[in-house]
Amino acid sequence: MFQIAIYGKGGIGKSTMTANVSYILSSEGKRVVQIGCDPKHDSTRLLLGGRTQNTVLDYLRRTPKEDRRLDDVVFEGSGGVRCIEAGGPEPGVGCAGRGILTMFDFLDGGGLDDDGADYRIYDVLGDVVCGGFAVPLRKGYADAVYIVTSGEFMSLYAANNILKGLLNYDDGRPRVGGLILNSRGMDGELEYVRNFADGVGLPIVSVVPRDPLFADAEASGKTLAESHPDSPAADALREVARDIEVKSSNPEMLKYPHPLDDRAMDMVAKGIPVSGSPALEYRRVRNPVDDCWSLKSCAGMGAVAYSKMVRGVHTIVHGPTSCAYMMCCRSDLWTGFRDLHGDGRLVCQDVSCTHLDDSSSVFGGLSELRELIRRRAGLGDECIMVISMCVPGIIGDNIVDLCSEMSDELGIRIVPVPVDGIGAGSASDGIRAVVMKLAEMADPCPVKDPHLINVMGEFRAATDHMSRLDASVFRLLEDAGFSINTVFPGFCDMDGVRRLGRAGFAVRSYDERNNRITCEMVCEGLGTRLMRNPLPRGMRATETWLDEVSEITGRDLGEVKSRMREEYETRLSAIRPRTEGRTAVVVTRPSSDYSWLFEILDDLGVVVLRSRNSTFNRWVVGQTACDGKEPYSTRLAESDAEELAPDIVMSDSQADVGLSARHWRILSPSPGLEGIADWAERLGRAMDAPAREAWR
Amino acid sequence: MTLDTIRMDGFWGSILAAESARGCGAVVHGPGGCRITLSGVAAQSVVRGFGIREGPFYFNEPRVPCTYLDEEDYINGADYKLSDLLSTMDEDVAFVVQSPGTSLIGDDLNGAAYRSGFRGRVIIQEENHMSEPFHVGYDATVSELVRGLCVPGHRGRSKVVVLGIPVSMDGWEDTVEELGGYISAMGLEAVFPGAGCSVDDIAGSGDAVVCVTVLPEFCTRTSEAYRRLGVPTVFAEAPVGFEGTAAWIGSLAAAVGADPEPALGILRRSSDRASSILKGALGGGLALRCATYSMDVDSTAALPLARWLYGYLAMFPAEIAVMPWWDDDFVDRFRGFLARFHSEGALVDALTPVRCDVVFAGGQAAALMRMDGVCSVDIAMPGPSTHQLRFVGRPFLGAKGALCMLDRMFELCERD
Repeated sequence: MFQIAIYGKGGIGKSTMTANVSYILSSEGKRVVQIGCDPKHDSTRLLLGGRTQNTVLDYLRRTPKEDRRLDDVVFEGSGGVRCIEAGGPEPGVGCAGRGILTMFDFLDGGGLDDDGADYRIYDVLGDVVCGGFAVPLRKGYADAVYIVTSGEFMSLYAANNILKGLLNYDDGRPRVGGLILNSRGMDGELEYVRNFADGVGLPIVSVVPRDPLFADAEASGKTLAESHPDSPAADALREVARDIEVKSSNPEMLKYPHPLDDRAMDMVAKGIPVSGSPALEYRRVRNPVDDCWSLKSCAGMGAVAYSKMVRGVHTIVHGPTSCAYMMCCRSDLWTGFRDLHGDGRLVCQDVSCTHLDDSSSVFGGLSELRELIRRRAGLGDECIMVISMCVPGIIGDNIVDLCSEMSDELGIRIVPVPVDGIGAGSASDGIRAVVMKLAEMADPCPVKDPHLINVMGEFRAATDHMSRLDASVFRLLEDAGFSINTVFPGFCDMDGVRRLGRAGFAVRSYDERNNRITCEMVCEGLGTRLMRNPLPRGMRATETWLDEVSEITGRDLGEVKSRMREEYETRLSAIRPRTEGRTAVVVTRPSSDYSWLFEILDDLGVVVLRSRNSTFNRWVVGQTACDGKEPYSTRLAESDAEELAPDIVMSDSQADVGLSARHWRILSPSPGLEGIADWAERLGRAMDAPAREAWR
Repeated sequence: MTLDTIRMDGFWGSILAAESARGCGAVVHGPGGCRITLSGVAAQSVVRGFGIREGPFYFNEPRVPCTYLDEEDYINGADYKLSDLLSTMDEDVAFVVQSPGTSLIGDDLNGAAYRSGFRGRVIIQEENHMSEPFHVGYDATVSELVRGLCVPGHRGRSKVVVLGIPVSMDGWEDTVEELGGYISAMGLEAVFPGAGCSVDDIAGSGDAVVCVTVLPEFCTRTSEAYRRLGVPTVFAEAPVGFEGTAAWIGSLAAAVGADPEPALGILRRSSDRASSILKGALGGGLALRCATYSMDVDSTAALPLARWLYGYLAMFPAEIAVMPWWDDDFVDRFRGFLARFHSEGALVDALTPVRCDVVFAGGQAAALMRMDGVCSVDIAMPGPSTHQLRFVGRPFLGAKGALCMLDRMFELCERD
């Protein structure tokens, strides 16, 4: 079988050419399949007596998967040509390119390859606008590509774009058959096209004259080759068929694509000869997959993770089930099989999904979203957050307008968060989007209470220490003269969201860049003063933090500081016999402040033999490698351990589970005195632990 | 209580099916968000030599490398990232699955594989089966592996291909071991595509005398792939409970002309043990008589399970939702079976759920129902799971599955 793709600018006459060529080949005894790859599905009309046929995509939408049969979408046309039409969504919705991909999946799965055809001809939408419409160009599909053009510049411009598309799919063999000039009857048209053809190094395989017989044939629902076989236009179309036959037997006659650059195309437009112009070089945008640019997770995941933490908010994942499942399947906070608020309700029970499938990705997913919101409307949710994933983002579902419309209709708060999966960036971007939406729901409160403080929680902080709020953070804040107004957004409900604006102060729960930016934005909107220092980890940070409290509130906390220092020394003195004089190699991340770590090691008498800065780290965006040194790896840690023989290697890399040395995974301590003292006690035990647990 | 239907879908099914074959590595062509949890789940589902991979595409996780597409890649295309990734892989077979979003941009994956210079075999799955049932994706991927690797062979008389055991199923290795033991006792050799066998085993399975199904919805496409190779399939009912397992052995033996007695002898040891324990418990052995259960399980497991619960333990259904319907005939047969004891009304589209003693459902849904007081015992079935670490498998198929279910259900008696 030889496969041909016929491309060209919209309205140039591709379908007419294709149907005629199919008819000619078929009437000569060849078995031909013609596949229309255009949502307007009129490629095969002239082979079917002027009727438009049922399209593959309509069929797939209507028919349960197990009932689908290839024969249901293949219709026999004039001369025995087997006709297939892809179809597609209505203009302005869904993704027509995805529709083409879906059709090819169905045809391949349905066994079209086994149909014994001699020729399969694809009639493809005007231009290679996206990857979907480029499917016929891929390896395994078109053996030859013909481009229909006229002498109009835009038609040649489209032809050049198609050659660029071909260059993207270059598989090392020549695949371009040539140009088919569908003449508009303009003066000098042939010369104009020949100039372009010479420039791109392609033959004009046939010049099809402008002929009123085409309209006549169309009116009778036939191809011109069938209704007027003796016309000059039919002769020209037979030349195309001949060319296909010859090149199918002699593929070495096909050409490589050599599209022109903008300057040469400008020469074409002006009628200046371009033969000999340098060919356009293929330059593909390449984003590296490395520590600095690869994004942990996606904005969709970050948004859902935060949205579902707030009691009273029901989260709708507008996307495929796989996205929602990843966000709900496990017992950690990122996913949600967990009773976060201690009221017997799991986080994942407040998440639902529109379950977008392949059909939604072609035709749009707003109807599924509308239906789900209606179902939720009667269930008493205070607020529904709709978070979009990649699929609706790419196909252009407008969730903002839909949420607004349904909010008015149903009288409940429906908040769109159009982060579009990875479209808005990393998890941090999604987190920020949700936090800002939540903060907008706070009641206006011009008078602030100076004794109330909001703890602005970054996610990691929540997992690490919030479960022990009473033991550590509450005491710290109480000692500093504060009461907690809201822990936001984790561990709060909609009441907590509404009263956000009452607090005079806010403190970040964790020192992390994204959290800092988000907190600054929220506090600016609320008019709340954000403390410079986050909740402190380590004794010196605690003292600094208390100093800041004194500075901003005027409270005298000298006695509190002295008491804490004394208690800290007492706790550490009990641990020091295990740690004094022991040695460590430490590997930290560049995104966080690890002052507390080196301080506690120093206070415990641990000797740091070497400190490295880990750069293989997905969490860091935009940071560079440390001082041009070799990036940290388990191999380096092994070599450090061998060279320096430390008592312990401390790092935050899960890869180091494979280390042969004694290893301690650095996890951030809870804020306050108890947090750092607990951490130090655990380190003391780690120093006496077996170098390698037996399971490792 | 609201039970939404967020469970593993066909995309997950494809990934885990690709990971089920030793020597094959699943690759996600998509953003990092689509890889979250996949590596860990894959590593826990199929135990193999552990090796964390550092650096791009892996980022300190052992399995399922990912091309980590970003938002610009959706606009410009990113098949070059797949080429780069494949050039770092050291598996014999790379199985590429596109993420839902990436499937829309139409990257030329075959071209990328060609350009990568990957030393082994690359299989590209164009469909990602997003939001389709888990078994659809699983089946599609195993069938792609068979189509891509398996060559027709001379029909032997001793090799049997066992299809339809997903590695997402708790205790799948116990099921493979048990069913493999029965097959071996009948003088046959077993290969388990999609259940931990190697790519070489799959490649060499074209000479099998027959395929036999365990959970048929997990292998409709795969059985078709084998049919094209000239290997017919025996669509046996799932081996649930002692009688169901005996029937499964009988179906296979009849198809290959083997003597089932040695296998049935092994099975009887388990069923006799269960029977002795129950009889020895005197009244305690009747504790589940007329207890109620609800189930939300794969279709082809549902009917044999309902049969066993009724016939072996005299338990009655409160609600039965099978996902998704196998076919109309299946529903009629199921309803007919339930009507024999006036329980046909238990067949529902989705669990309400009503109060009952035992729930058989995906791990997450079952656990939710137990926590909400809907049931006293939750038994996790294949498909969805909470992905908690498990050290001892708890299968539900075969004799061992029957014993595990009895163990779990009699916890109820001890509590009450």
